[in-house]
Amino acid sequence: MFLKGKRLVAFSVFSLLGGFCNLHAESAVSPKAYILFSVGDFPVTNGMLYTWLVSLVIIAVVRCAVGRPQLIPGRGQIIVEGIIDNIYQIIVPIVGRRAAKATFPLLIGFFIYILMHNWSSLLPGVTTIGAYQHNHFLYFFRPSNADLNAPLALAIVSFTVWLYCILRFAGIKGSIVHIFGNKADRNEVSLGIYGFLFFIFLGVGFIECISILFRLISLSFRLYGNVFGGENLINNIMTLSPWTKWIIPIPFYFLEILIGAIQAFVFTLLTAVYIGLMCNHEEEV
Amino acid sequence: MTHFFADLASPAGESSGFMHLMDTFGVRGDLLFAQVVNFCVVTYLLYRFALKPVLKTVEERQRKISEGLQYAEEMKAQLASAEQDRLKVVKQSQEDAQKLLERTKKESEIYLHEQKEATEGKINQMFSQARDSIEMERKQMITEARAEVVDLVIATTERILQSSLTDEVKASLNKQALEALKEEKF
Repeated sequence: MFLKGKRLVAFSVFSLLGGFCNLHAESAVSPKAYILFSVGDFPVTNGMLYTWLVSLVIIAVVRCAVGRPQLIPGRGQIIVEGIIDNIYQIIVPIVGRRAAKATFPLLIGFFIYILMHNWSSLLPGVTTIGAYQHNHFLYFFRPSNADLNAPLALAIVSFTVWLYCILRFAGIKGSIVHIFGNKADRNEVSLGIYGFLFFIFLGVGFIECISILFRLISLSFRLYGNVFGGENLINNIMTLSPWTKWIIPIPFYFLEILIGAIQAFVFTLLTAVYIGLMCNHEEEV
Repeated sequence: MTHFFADLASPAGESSGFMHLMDTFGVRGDLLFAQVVNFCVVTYLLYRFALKPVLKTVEERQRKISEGLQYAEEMKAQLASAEQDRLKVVKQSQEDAQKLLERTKKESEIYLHEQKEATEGKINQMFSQARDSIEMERKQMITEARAEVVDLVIATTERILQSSLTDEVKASLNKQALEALKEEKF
């Protein structure tokens, strides 16, 4: 392993606390993950490696925080219970009480998984510890959501669960009626207009189908763009000047903490909204 | 970037444009699948070993709180019922005590009256006995006094007359003396 930028060897207290122990800082982060090594035919990228590491940490941290749940909870249990309860209270009115029970494990999983991965991207060493290969710096740890494979995988899971939910709770007929059906009230419009609106809503249904398919793109690229953009922002600020790199990035780290939480929440909420739009008709009445 | 969108838009370059997009962002089928599996495993483990026990505990706590509240409500109702019973018992006791008091008062008055009458009877009897006794003693004393007076009169008369009188004379004199005494209201 080669540490580029020897001037950054001396760590400060700031660097330990704020995550500034960058051993390497380039002006731009690669849009794709690097393949570090292969296990058989399977390529292990820096994004994949860091995903596994953080995933292990997530399981360990949450398990340790919860411990053995008690009726009179400890501090860790209170935090986990607070997150669970708040997410559940937000989700129930959106997806409906019936679908909430089925989708809650996945939605809380989305939130915790994305949040922890986003925040872990701010840890020291991420995108900065690595080695030179053919005069090119290969870092070992890349934020999970800065590798498009991860957000796209989450979007695929989200889409699959959405599909399962609408088939289970709305049914095929209900879903088709919801997407292509004439939303006009027959008693309020004339037959001619009602017939005309039937074709209009049929067309709207096709547009709706395209928008549904594009949710895969919108969900994944929104998350990827925010995390990848954040990484680029911090890396660029690090290279602005050797004298300002210790102080200037601090507000941006707080910004990234905020964005990490917001993006986790947005992804979870949008998945809930997509499910709720199709499955929550009973509650609307 | 313009070339990239042009490639995507053209029918001929559709496949190459999409592949170029995938290649630009490093999207691969195997990595995508690995990420899906990774997320599913993490979510399952989190839910199975962390969230599910917490949810179970929360439900258990809610059940206990609910039971506690229900128990408190029941206890409240029982307390109200017990309070009503207590008031009823106190009221009944007060009534019983009042009745007992009145009965006792009445009985004591009757007893007092009886005792008073008995005592008065005894006192009257004692008075009567005392009066009779006094009367008898007075009569006896009068009789004795009469005898003494007669004897005295006789003695005096004998001395005066210097002679003895016959029994008939003595009797006649006694009779006269008695009459005289009666007249004198001795």
